[in-house]
Amino acid sequence: MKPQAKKDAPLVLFTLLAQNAVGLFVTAGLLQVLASRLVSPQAAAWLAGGVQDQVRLVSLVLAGASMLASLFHLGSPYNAYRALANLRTSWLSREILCMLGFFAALGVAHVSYRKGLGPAALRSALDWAAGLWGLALVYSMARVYRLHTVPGWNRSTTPGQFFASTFLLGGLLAGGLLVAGLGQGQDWGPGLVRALLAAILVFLAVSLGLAWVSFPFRPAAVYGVRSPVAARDLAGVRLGLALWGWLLLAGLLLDAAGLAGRELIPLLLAGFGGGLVLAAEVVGRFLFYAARGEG
Amino acid sequence: MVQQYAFYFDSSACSGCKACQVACKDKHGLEVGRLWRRVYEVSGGGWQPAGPAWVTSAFAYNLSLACNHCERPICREVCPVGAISKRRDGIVLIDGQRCLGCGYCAWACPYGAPQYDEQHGRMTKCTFCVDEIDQGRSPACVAACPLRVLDFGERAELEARYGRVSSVFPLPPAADTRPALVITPHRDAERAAGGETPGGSAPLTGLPPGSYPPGISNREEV
Repeated sequence: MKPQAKKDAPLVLFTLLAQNAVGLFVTAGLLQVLASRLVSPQAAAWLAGGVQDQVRLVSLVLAGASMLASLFHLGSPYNAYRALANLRTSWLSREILCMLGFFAALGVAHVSYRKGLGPAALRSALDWAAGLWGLALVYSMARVYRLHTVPGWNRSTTPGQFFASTFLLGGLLAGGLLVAGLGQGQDWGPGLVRALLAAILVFLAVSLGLAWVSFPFRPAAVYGVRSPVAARDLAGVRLGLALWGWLLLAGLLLDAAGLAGRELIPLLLAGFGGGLVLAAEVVGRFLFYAARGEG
Repeated sequence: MVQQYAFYFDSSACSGCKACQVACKDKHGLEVGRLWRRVYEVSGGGWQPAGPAWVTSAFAYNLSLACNHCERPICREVCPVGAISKRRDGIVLIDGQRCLGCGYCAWACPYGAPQYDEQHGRMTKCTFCVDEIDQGRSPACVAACPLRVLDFGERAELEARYGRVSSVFPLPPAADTRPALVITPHRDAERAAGGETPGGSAPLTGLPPGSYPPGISNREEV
């Protein structure tokens, strides 16, 4: 790995893991709302049962891993406790505040649901708080890079890319947990589950579209790739991977939903498809950091 | 009482000898790769056919840049731990004990001033030799320049003496951070800004990190 890519790797991990955590939690939350309003209270209750517990736990693990990754970017991590000292002007301070807010709200919500602590309204409020902190986290992450002195990052496509990654990765993971949850609890019928998965796929289609329009196809000196044609090809590979992985995973999720219980091969292929999308997102994030030197 | 210390740089007479760069490294014990003052050569142009002959439009001039101790330092604005402060005399300093070493200030600064200290894991930059200034002496770079193209002092006095130019091609617009810098431009700076590179000439080389158009990194190893 080239030296600059090594330096950027902790930030690539930090941003993608955090966005994945937020995307997973918010997507699952939106599905919960859709299920209760458009499907049936029973469907919402089923989602609120085992699946949402897993969603909160996986989101917590991803957020925790993200914070750990960010420490490897710092030259003096022992000073990290000071990172909220400049909320007045620093978007980086605000980003850290939002990360802590998301993690804390999600952690308290998770414990409350698992142990049945407090009234249902309070637990629901904690979920909403975590969702809002999460969206604020992604927004503040984008603002960190909207430096007027760095034209390569100071574009409206920057928040577009970040939110696209959030819902692309989070949506796929939500779909995966939903399918994994099918083997547990009651079977609400393939029709209902297909409807929920279709909602996820629509969500993903919008995310992929957002990724397409917000990904800049500029020539870039990307880690030694100095040819504009090669740089465009690399960007094209990234989107191609995402599209291929998304289509593969989409078809397999829908197919898996129609099967009784779990089947190994569709799940493996779904994992492979998800892996392709993740690879595309990683490549895209490295490309983003490489764009710092551009005008 | 000085309101805003500033550097003056005469680009029209700088030979690019890098005595200022070396003097700074020597005084502060900077290792290879860490440059608190950086000398860039901005060059371009080429040859054009003119009938049976060829005429040159080549140009080259030098920029010696340290920290510009900006009136609106973006580094201070973005630092999450509040490690960067601006003194009453305008000098911008990094508190190494508070610094997180995140490098955000280096991203933000369009002049490449903050430099990472690998050994201690923190950001560092030109301090305007505050230890010398506070004793009434000159910064090391100013004292070392053999052609006397560097000077320092109260910004208003420098502007009265040398003019109010604080940005030349390819530096970013002065309105971005309002650098405390006065420059006498080289005679070719305007032509360089016009992008005059006729007849298949070499591209512009040796640009500072935040420069427009996108430059090529000029990490001089001294």
